Amino acid sequence: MAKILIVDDSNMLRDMVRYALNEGGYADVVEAVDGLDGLEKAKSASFDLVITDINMPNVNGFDLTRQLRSMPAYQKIPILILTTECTDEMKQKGKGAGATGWIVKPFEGEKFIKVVDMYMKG
Amino acid sequence: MEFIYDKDAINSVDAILFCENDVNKLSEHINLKIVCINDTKEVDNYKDSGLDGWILKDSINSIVELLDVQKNKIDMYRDVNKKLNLLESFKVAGEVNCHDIQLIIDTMKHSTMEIRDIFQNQTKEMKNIHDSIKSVKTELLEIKEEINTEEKNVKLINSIEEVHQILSRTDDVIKTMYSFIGVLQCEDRLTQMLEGMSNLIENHVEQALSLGVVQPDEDSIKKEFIKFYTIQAQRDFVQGIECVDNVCNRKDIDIEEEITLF
Repeated sequence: MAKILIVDDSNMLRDMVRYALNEGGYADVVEAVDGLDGLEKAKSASFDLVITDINMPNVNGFDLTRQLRSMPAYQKIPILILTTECTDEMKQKGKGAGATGWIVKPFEGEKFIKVVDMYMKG
Repeated sequence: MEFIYDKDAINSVDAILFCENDVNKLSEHINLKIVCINDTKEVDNYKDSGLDGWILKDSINSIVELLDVQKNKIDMYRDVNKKLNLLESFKVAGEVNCHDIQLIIDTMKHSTMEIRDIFQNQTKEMKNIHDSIKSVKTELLEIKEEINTEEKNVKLINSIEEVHQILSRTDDVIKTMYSFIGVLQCEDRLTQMLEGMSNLIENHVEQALSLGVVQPDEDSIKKEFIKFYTIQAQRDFVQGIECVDNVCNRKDIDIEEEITLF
């Protein structure tokens, strides 16, 4: 079963993403409260997908993405950025950091799961 | 500062300063332009000349004493000028803050209306779901009484399907609830912005009271406040674009660009 890491400093947002993933059939979901927590969890377990916010304390989403990409285990793992930001400039920044995709929140559950399915089920 | 010019007193004094009324034109380093005259009859010739004063040639030695007398006044004017500049900067800061606070208020009103509409619609939906569940419950109770007949097995299957659909509707409601909770989070952020700006304003007022602190201009105040602005306003500020009409409005987001795959 696919193991997914959610990184966001908002408890409510993590609940929302977890709910959407559970409804989409993804039960193995781990939460991290910020980028630093996300890094530690990513090092201690092997995830198939990482979903991260950008604006977080300690380590932000861009830095988290960059650091994950420097780890051999996460060089090819899909990393989706889930954020309120929606400009091309920020998206390019995310792409430059190594992100696989960009989702603007609040998101539509069905579309979100379709993207996750695309990466998890091929 | 008043124009000091007393014809009757001319003969009794050696030097007089005639100054302009506008205190704000006093510069940090005061350079007095004083004309040296031979006779007091020459004073009228210099009254509107832009010079600061005159002195009799014979009394030129009293210039130093004259400046000493005026020094306190000059220092006072300089202090007043400094305070006026500080008040002016706060007036600018106040106008900037009032404009931004009005934007925030408008945004919060917009968000509140959005939440109200969503809540009303979802409450109606939840009531409909409740009524649906009630009727299904009645049907299931009837089936329970007649469970051994084949006809009621079909009814049982249909009822179970109906319950499944109700659960699907409930699921949609829950997801929508999460969405407008996201809108509520936007309002929380705005509340934090207001609190932060209020704290900053209080700090500036304390600084003003103590005096002698660097006078903040509009740009430096904006730099302090910008961290509490919306993300769009922060980006505008960095790019040197005026922050106008920055509201947390999801209608501006193109749904087609909601998801971007690199």
